[in-house]
Amino acid sequence: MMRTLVIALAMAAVWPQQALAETIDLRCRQEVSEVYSMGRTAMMSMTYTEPTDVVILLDTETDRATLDQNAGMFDVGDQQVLIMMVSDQLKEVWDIDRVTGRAVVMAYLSDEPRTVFIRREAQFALPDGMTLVQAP
Amino acid sequence: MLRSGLCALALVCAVVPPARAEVITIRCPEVTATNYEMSGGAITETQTRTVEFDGIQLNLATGEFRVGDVSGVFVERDGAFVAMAHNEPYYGAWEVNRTTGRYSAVGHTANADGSWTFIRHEGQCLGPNMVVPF
Repeated sequence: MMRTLVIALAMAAVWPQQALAETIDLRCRQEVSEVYSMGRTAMMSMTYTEPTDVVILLDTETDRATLDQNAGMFDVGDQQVLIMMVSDQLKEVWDIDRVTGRAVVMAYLSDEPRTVFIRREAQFALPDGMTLVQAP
Repeated sequence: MLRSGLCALALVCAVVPPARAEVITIRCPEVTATNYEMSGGAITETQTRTVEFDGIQLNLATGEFRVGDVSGVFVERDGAFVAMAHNEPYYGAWEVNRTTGRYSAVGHTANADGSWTFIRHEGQCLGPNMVVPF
């Protein structure tokens, strides 16, 4: 599966119009989450260290990304894969290092009168010998 | 007489704890900022750069903090101070580890044209093993 992903991402970067048309399951483990919540007059923050596995679906034909109720787009750059997804209240951006599979996730939840930010660290599944780096 | 005065001052300094400053500034000389701009349901621009960051001002008496034109409230938690602000249209959260000085922040801005931006800061505010004095 990861080999397919590597090929698909590489092709999407080099020949966008010829990218493999398929849906890819991009699997990752969220390791640490920092949650910052602010009301009208006070704020609080929490750290969650319980790992959570999530699967982001990437449609390489439309560059569409989905995760549960969130949907958006993804973009393959030289150094990183960026994924942006939104729902009614939540906006999130995933910044994935193509070499290491390490990801930083930022999310913003507007839930009046609360404002919530979530900052996560995640690791995408990259078996030994495989990377998200474009093949020569 | 002078010697006696110096001794007296030294004694006072040694015995009386330093006055607790009401406003402290945590300076962060090396900050990497990344902007993620979204428009029309797509990522339109990503930019990473080093920025000059004036630092974070904490008012210990009121629990308020200020970063440039942005202000809000802060708390101390697990060896870090954490601050949040919502100054429409900008919302953000800042965190500095009191021991390591490691700094991170996330922010969100809703632009007038319907686009929006995430801002991420990573940096070093204090040297290793230094403690934010509050």
